[in-house]
Amino acid sequence: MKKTLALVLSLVMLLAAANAMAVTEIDYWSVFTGGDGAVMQGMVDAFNASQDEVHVNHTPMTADDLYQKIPLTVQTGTGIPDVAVVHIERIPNFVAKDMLYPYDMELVAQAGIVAENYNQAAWERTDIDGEHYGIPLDVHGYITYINKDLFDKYDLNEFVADGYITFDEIRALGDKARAAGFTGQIFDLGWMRAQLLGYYAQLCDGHKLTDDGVNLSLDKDAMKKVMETMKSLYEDGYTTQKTDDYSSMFYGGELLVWSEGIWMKAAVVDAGVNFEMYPAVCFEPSTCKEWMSSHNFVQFADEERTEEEDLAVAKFINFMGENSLTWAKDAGQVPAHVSLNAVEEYASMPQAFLSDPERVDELAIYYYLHWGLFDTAFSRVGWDFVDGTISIDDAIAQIEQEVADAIAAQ
Amino acid sequence: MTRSKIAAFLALAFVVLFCFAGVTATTTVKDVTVSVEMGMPKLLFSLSSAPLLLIPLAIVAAVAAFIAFIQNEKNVGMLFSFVAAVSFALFMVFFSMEEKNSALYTPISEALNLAEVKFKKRDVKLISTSFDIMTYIALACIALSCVIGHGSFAKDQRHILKRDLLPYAYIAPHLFFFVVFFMTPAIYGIYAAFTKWDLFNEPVFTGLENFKTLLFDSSNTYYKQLRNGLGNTIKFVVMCVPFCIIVPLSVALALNARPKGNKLFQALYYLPSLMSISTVTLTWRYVFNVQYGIVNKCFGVKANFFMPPYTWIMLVIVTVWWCTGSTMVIYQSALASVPQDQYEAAAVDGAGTIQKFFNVTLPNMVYPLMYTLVTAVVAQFNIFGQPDILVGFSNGEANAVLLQYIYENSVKKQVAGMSSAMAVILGLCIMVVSFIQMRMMVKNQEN
Repeated sequence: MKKTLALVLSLVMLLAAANAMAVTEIDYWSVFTGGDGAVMQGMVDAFNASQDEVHVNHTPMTADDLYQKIPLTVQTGTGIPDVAVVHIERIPNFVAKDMLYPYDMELVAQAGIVAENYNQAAWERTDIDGEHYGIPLDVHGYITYINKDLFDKYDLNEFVADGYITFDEIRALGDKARAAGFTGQIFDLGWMRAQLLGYYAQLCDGHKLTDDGVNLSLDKDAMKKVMETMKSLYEDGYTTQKTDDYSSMFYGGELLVWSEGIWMKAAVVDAGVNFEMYPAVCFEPSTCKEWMSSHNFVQFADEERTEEEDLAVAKFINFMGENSLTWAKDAGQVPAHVSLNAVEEYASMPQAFLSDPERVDELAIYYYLHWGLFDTAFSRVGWDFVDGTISIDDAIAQIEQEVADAIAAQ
Repeated sequence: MTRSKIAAFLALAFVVLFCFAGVTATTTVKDVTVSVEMGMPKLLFSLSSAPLLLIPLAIVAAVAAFIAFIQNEKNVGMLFSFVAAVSFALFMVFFSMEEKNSALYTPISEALNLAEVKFKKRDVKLISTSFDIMTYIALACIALSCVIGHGSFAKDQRHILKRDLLPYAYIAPHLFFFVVFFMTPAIYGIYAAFTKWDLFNEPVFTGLENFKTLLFDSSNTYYKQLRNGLGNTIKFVVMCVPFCIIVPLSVALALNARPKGNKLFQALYYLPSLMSISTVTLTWRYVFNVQYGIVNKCFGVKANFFMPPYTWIMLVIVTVWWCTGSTMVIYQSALASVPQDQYEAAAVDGAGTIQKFFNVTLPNMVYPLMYTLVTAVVAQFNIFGQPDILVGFSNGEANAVLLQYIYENSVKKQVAGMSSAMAVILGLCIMVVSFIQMRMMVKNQEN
């Protein structure tokens, strides 16, 4: 009898101990690959090492892959990640399809997540119908890098003295550099969608894509002016050609002004280029805006996820926010957690100007129900209007038509 | 009436009753309980429940059983009835086990809206299902057809049973996978072509609307995409197929001359066809890379092969490199079977190498040549991996083939109905071309 009792007690204690040691496993999908993916994995490892209650399994994949897998995963109800990082533009469509769960704000507050801790430009955009769907990791955008050595060599610093570079100044500094013997290229036409939408935002207040929230209705005059500006710079010989590898040109001192994402900072540093970062090239400094996006933590609809897992996810997200100095330093991003603004090391980073609360209005974060359709249609016309394959009017009409037809056929 | 005929009648009754059978779905949301009924045929085309994949298998098997019983093939009929009964029973079990059946969510949500219940998808926790009496009668019919129609199990008759069923045992694994994973999705794909579907919500039947848009609405994006995509696909087929025949034939002829190390070369030439398309394209991506590519380095040029005017050339080279091995083996086999006495006779008549090739070798290879022509045309009509991985849409629509549009529209843009209609049109084009070629092949064989 005593033996049986001892055995039962031992078993109960063993089970209790096992329960106490139980680790909550969290599946986390992200859109970070390459250098960003390695940095993110490092941050996940740091979180896993910082405590022993939650273990996060990180699955990185390209954004395209994630956006293709998610609808099917949610629909079948199997293998849904507990938390995922998506681009903020995608959230309205996910919400409309009832694919996302809103955050339980009381529950996430237990882990330290409150709205005040985050960049408001990003936070407020995921407040939909009284619910909150996204917690921003960062804001990131398309800005301007200049080759400081070349600017010094050809005495071009006067063009960046006010902190901005206008399209007129691109021409002027290009003429001056060439007159002084510079044989490289002045300005690049790279990722057209990001570049053009930044410039478009400068011309239409509120960077409008839609009137009724559903159908695409571009500000045609603004878009036409943007496209005409690009085309004329190209035709007058101030920009790279379609076949040019503009990043290699910038690293090799063959490109003066490079429009690129802030996430390329680490690569530029590795290439040993003496560089400076500026806002996007603009029509007027007073209306300067750059195309921005934001990586957001979201939770896709999964009926089997427990409250315990939701709390574990919240702890993980809060850790990511509070420790996002690494994200700024190694991945070159602008963390959305405002605590970073008080960190001196961050303030000295070149991309820190994007965190300036006074510039929040300049961040053109597009937010449109059918962003995915618009993105594909807009990217399609890419170079076609620049090299004259189609006219600018036709390009704009094609974008609108493609989005309208896709909405109608869905 | 013989047992076979009764069994045939029961198998047919199963198919007929299936059309009138249905399911009742019930759920409770916020203390409101709603029930909806849905007919089996409609359920079959809801495209969102895995157990439904078993139904086409059951129907096909029941039809096969009917035909077998009519021809008095009792054992075969029994086998197919058994497969149909088991498939249908399994469907009923697994379908009932699904807690939140996506196939039934749409009518349930409509019923909840009618009941003025404000809800979100996640509030619908459990949709319980029950089959109506007609479903059970259908199951009973097919099970009875198996019981009634069976052949003799007597010891002295078992060899007949074995003789009748053994061939089906050999093809059963393939048949199962063919019906469930090829034929059924193909049928669903064709059905999807007649719907408006975003891959997430239930498809809405729209009749011929998609085809009307694709074929007649010249202002529509998909009308233009179909023309551009199909045009580029045909362009690629015309450019690529001759090389897919000539190159392997040349290699096979060269190897047939038994040069030193011919076995090694044969293995080397065959090797690419064992690789996946991703491996092949990524390898060639480096070969043709503008900065680091061996082609540019060797020739001292800085050509971008991923852009016009080189793109089609690059795509043909990659495809021919990939396809040569498998076609080469067919030609080698054909060359080996050309009668040597015909060469000898030709030599006696004073024929040279070229004359021997055109007058002896080629006439003996007509069948394999026609066969490879058909397979090459079908394969190249289905071109996707090479342009998608190597070029994508980076050249706008200059090199976009139809399958790229189909993939992009269905998976990336979730315009699945229209994409399926495009796929059906592509399939019809391939069928027409293949049919003409097959006719030519048969005609040639008759001559």
